[in-house]
Amino acid sequence: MTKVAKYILGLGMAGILAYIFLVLPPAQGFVAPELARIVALHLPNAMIVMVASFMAAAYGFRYLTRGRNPLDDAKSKVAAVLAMLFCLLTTVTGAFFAKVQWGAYWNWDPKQTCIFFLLLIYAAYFLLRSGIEDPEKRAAVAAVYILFAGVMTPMLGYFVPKQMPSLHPKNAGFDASYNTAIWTTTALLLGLFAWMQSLGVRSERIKLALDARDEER
Amino acid sequence: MGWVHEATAVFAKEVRTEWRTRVALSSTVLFAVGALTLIGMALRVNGVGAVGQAVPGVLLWVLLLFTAATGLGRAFVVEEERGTALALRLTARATAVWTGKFAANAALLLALTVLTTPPLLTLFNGKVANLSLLFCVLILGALGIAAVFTMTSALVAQSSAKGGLLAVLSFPILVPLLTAGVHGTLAALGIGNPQGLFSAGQGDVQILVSYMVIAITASLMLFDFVWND
Repeated sequence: MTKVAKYILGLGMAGILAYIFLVLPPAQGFVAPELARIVALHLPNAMIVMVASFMAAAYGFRYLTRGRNPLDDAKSKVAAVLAMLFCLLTTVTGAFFAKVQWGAYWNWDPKQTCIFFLLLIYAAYFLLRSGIEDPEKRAAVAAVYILFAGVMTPMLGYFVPKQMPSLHPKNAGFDASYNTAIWTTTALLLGLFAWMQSLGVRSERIKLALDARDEER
Repeated sequence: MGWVHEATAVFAKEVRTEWRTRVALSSTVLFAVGALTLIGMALRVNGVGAVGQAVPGVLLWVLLLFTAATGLGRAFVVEEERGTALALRLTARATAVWTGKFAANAALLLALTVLTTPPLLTLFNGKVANLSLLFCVLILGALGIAAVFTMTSALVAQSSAKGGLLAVLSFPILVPLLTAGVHGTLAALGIGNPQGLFSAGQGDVQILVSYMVIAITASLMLFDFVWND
């Protein structure tokens, strides 16, 4: 990423945080309206999980169908790491919100449980990877599982919780400024995600090159 | 050989090898019986007889999932261990192998469901309000579970850590099936549905059907990638 983009990202991040904490009005209809502002950080994280998980699945699919390029496997893996990271951030910010608004960090709310299952899927993915020695076999098996994970992300993030009674706010007292805050944060986090992804891929590329050099010797 | 012939041949081979020793069948049945008794004892440990209304329906699914995790994971591991995977690769195409294995797993799980459901419901005083809904939900659920475990067992067969990994990989994927299955079963047992209407569980049946279709299609499309290397 270019230097300019990084500066824009940093300034934008600082700006949106200041906006969320200083300008954004408290959301009505909650136990603690002032503290409901965390929604503007919680929701964008969940959307990045979706993007990262689709990206991991897409690179997995590319690996399987386009000539088994180890770099595609590496890209898929890096995206899966980031999906897990943002999944963790979604869980943690959600737990803070739940503690303040619903009285406990963990309420067995369908959305809470489902995002936790998503976390488990990614944990299982890395466990699966670590159990297979042969790199080509590992990449193929991991790609198949990451495709399943890609299908499960919208299911667990959206369709399953919709079937069950939930504590999650439907159309609670968020005014239009929340939309602005949420989408701006999402765009900035998307930039951050792209940066982290490219850093991860760069380090994977170096690892692949080192492995190739070792084999030549 | 045609595809159907290959698939039925794989299925017949599975049934025949299983029937020689009956290890999978007897171990899963014993596991289910043991787990059932253990849970029954644990629920009454303080001497109070009454068990919550939802318990039989939920237990049924927990038992089904855990028994599947112990019994269905061997399908491809066995082939790798015996060194017969290569022969199987040569004689049948990938989708036929998967279908045959899936059919065998589904048969095992359905037999198990038929064997464990009546005693479980009797022991925990579950009253069936709509038998056809219960049948639909359980059969579709068993087929979905068998499809997922057949696929994940093919993934696990490549890994050095086999035992626990199967459940770790499969349980999170089975969440939509579990929620719909439990909801439909509770409706079939008349909980929140005193007249025993089929329509109370119709949405769950639809979810289970689509889950099964997705699981089978995805497996058929992806199995080739892990099988033929």
